[in-house]
Amino acid sequence: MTIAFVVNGRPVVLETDPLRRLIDVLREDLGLTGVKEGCGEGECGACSVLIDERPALACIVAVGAVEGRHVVTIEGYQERDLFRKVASAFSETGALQCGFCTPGMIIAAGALIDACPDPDEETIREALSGNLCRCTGYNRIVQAVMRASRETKEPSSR
Amino acid sequence: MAIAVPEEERMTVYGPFQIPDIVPVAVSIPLGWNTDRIRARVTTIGGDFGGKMETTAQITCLGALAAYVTQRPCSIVYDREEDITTTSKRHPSRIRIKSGVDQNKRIRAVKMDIDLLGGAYFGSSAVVLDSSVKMATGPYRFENVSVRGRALATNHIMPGATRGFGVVQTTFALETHMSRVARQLGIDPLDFRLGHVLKQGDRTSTDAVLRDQVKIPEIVKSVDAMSGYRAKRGRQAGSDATVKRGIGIALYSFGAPHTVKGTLRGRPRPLILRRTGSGDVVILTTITELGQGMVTVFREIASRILDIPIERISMDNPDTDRDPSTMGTGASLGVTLFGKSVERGARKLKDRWDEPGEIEVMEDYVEPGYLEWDDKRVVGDAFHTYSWGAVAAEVSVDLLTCEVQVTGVWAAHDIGRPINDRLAEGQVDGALVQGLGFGLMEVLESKEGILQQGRLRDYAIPTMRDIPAIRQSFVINPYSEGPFGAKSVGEIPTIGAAAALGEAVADALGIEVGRLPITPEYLLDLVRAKETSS
Repeated sequence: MTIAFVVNGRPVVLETDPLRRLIDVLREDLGLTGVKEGCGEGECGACSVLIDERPALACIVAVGAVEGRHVVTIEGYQERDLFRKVASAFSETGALQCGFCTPGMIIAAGALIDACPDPDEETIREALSGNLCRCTGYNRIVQAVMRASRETKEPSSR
Repeated sequence: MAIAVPEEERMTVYGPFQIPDIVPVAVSIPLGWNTDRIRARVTTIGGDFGGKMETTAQITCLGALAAYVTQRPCSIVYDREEDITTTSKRHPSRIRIKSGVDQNKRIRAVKMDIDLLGGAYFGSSAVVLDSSVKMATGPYRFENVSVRGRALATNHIMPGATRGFGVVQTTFALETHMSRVARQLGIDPLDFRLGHVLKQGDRTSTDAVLRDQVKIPEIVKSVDAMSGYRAKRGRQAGSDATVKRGIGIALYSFGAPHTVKGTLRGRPRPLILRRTGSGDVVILTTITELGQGMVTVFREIASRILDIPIERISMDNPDTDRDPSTMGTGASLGVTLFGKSVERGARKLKDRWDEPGEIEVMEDYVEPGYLEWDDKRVVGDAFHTYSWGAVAAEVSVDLLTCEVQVTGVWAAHDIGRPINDRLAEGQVDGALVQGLGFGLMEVLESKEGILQQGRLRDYAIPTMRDIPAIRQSFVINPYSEGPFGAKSVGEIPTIGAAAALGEAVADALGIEVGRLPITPEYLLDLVRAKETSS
């Protein structure tokens, strides 16, 4: 059937099975490979995207469910000011190693900062506990999110 | 994941290969071709920790066969369940230790019996066992040592090289044993262990003389200062609360780079530094970036020697047609051994910098001149050198649910002089958490050969909420043979976390932990056994 939705600000119309996973449509049909598949069952958060500005897992959403909605992947997210602040905090803190979880981690971190501009360590650990990382031990990810939230509070000078 | 592309008379395969050099050899077997007809190109690898060494070559063989039959490009992609079911894991083990203690309350003799369950395909079992046996006595000096190591064939999970390389298991066994003996003797477990620590000039269990300073006392002091271990130890077990708190510490060491006997010796493993006509430098090697920061560190070393900005130095993912065969990385040898090759190559390049056009320098690794190893008698320098560490873990244990929550982790390591502090600290953070996951929650069972935890929903790894903030330090002890004094960091921080955790739970509940992971089910058994006996 025909499914129409918006991806990264651009309208998309597809003739496809509505039960296909959103992650497959994004990666295979639209070439948005920043959406990573870590588990395929909603456990790891690597495929985090925004659907109507709320974080969601593209591996457990059927494409039929996003009809008429706005999907943002890391490719579209990187146009935002908040992305630049989170990404530079990740890079300056050393909050990534292999990088596989990073796109999903950045989307989840950005969504947290949007919802809670001044999160403490416990809030961060709770909010991002659905995003797994095998490499970093999370220490520097928590530090990076704190750093990014501090930078978003300051008047944007850069 | 692998992609195989058939070409006229040849085939190019792409995949996340930890050791790209073995892939053409592996693929040549089912195709019946000479290895030079196969070109392996490495894609961005992602986290590896030993799991992308052997099995990526096997998956690539399947992709190559499909491409051979169809004469079309073929890709093979495993989902998580296929991946968990078919890739290698840490060796399950059973370790027995018996020691003889004299009137002065010192261990005079130790006997260790190490069994690793090797699965049906022996793959890396021999090299992992080699490391388990040679590192069995950890950071301690015992006058008399007997170690028997066996890898047993089983119809269970396929094990392979995994971060910590067989020493995580032996360290848990040895640290637990040392603490038990100390308690039986009425001595503080940390003091007892410190009394047996190796010193400069001592001989290891393979009779190697320790040439460099052993800074375990400084390491322990640093961990104590950060954690308050001595002030906290044994203070909370007696309280009546249903939540008990405890703290434990583990001491450990790791021989690196590699075991001297291993695949390393007698085979050239060169890399190339090329200065292009435009004055940029390219590093060509099959040493792989697995997220550990190898590329950054190699570029940093070359940049320091050549005195040019790091942006002018590049190192791409390996390609077996283009690069000299350095045989990948593994066993914590990348920076120490091949970083030194980069350093030497860069010095030669610098001497020739004024020559016009392109300059190329090929540099092989060099073993330290002092190495002596008798393979028949298993005597001598089993490793080039050793990294050392200690970690303290603090826990709270809920007696109603028998759940263990890690509330603090503090670690200090001697890895020589780190080249890049931020990357080195990142290695330590991640390794500690892997060690805690292994010690606390990562259950992998096999019933009649079938894995019971094939998905991430069943195979729980630590989330951000399971782990507290980590504090750590480095005790600087420059290594004369390493680049800028660096030793190995990749494996060592994985080694002690589970042992420290076991000690912390023992401290909290006044019990002895003898098995990992410390699941609520296992802990409930221990608590009930204690209630019955008292």
